[in-house]
Amino acid sequence: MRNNILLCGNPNVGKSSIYNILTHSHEHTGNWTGKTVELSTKKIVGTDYYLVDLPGIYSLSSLSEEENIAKMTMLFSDYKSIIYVVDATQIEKNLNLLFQILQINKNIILCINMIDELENKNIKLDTNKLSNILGIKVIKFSTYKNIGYNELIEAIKEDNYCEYNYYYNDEIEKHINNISSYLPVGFNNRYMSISVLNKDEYLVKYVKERYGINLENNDVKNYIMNINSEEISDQISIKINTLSRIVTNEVFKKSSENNISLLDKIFSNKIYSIIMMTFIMFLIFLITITLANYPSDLLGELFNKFEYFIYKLCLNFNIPKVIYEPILFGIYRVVTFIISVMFPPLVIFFIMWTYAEESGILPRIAFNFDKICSYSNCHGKQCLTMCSGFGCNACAVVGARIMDNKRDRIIAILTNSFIPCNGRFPMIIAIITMFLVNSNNKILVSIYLCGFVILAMIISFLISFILSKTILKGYPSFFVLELPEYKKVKLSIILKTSIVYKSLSILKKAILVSIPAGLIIWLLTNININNMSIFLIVSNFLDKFAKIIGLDGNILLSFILALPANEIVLPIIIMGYLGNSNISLISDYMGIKSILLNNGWTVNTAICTILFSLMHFPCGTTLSTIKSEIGYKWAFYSFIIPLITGIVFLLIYNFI
Amino acid sequence: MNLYEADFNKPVIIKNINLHGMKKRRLYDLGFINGEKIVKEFESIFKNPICYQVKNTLIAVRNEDAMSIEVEYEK
Repeated sequence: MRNNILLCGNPNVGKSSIYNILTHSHEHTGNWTGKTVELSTKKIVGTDYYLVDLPGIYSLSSLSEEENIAKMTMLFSDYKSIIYVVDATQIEKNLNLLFQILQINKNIILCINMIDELENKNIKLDTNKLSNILGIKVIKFSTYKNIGYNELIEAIKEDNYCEYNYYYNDEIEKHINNISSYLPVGFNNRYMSISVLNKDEYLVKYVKERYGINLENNDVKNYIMNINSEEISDQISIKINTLSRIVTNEVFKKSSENNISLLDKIFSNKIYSIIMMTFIMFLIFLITITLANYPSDLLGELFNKFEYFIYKLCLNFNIPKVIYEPILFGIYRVVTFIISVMFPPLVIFFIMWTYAEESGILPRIAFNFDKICSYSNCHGKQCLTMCSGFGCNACAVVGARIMDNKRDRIIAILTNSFIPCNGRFPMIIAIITMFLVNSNNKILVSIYLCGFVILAMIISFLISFILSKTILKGYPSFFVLELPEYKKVKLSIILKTSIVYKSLSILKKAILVSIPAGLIIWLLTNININNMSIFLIVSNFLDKFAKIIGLDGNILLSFILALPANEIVLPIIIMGYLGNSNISLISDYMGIKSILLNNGWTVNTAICTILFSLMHFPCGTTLSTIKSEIGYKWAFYSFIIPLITGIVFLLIYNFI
Repeated sequence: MNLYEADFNKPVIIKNINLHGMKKRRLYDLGFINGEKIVKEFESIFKNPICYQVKNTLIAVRNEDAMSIEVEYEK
């Protein structure tokens, strides 16, 4: 659209927060590369324009999907102008992309973000001089100190053409002109020629498919064959790099050398940092479990009291059983169970997770564990998708787009469901508490949990390795990773993102899924054929096979019925055992334990159930996400691979 | 000398990158380019990759790749 404004810049320059401020919205922000994968578009409040948030990229060299999206949008979509965001403390690095973009479009505003950090870091930046040298409209901006909002809104309403021109040496200019003369008129011929020299295959293919124009026609091909295009392409990159350096030297003064953060030094090159990392993970679990316990108990009690109240009410008003039983004992119980058991740990986990994400800890994890990835023949960034799998597997599947290479991405997606997500943690914790620890000793529970999580990670890497040697042969693509500086994060931002945008949205999804699921399960357990509920008939049928792998028919059927959401496995197991008998308390551990014990559970059943929870088909949401990301075939594989792994693993476990 | 062999905390200048295609482009994009100043900063737990500072940013590069980057000490 003509009234679109493109927001672009390097990764980690705070584009997303500018987007949020201009559109008064709450899109997610993050501190690691490749956060914005979908092009979000929203109206800029106070104007008639729409802001398009392009993915953060380092250059226009068409090496990753994100770069392609950004570049094609800039080249071929209809828009008014560009806002180019730079980090005030990282001008030199950020200018590279600006010079590349100036070859495409000059209607551009330079937005210098994080202007407030200059003082803290003893940096002097002469923004007036920068504006003069480049002949560009400069807006100083700070999301933290609310600087520059009005100026930016005013600038957006105008056209601001950058007056800066730069040329390569005579030889390269000659080549560019010659190639231009072979190209059809009407395109940005200069840029197209440079792209041809840079061997930009994606662009060539795109233009051919969309406009039917072959940029690499015979004339061009012949011409390129007779010149050293790699050398020329190198010189083009070097020229742009030199330009950024020269401009930066004019305007940017740093009085102290860069100090590497103490944390980075502590964490590097010492084996004990592995122990430290494990300890931190243990601590995270311990905090989550301990803190979550109180609100969980409280909520559970409240819900039970309310249920009893409604139940009495129904009796008083003579409401028929057929109406209140499915609603109260089916839907209400499953929904409230999910809220009381799942929500508190979810919130606490996401608070810590958001902190790790926003502060810059996550890329450090990838940095430190890259060696393991390289051993298992997968991409170093797989650690990042693994970590986000702890929150939600479906989110991690989308996040795998940060990998440039399709093979790496598929491996990361297929092995992600081994990582227990927030929907599975509550059940794993409950079973550990009831059967492995036998008491409320939170420290022991956390240690067991750490053990299972480490096992899950090992299996995930192992399967990655096996996949890379079988159906996904090949080598991982090039690994380089930027480690952003540690950032101080506002508590209010952490709370807002973790509670409102993550926990509540996941909870909402889980509740929506569990309403029909609760009803169906109640019906299955209460509709009788020959004096046996449908649930019982099916679970008896599955029982023989399930016993071989250490489970029972009821558990297996519960996992199958919980396909829409992993959160409801435990409630279904309990409802399955209880059938249509009346129960009052299902949210307290001792109550659950006695039900399970009465139905033949042993420590072995408990361990097998946890293992099966780690290794079985991913939930419905994840599967449909995989389908839309990489297609039916791989969705099928992602269903079958963890399932087979789980069955094989349990068979081995039960026969040793 | 290649970048992997360089001493820690001692700035070097990139002479040449003996890689081609996509790898070279990626390194260029991040500032690993002829004439640029680089400082080897710190190792990861397993000593591979290593973190380098270029253009005021920390970038992790695997050792195999760092070996293909020709450098010399700043004069």
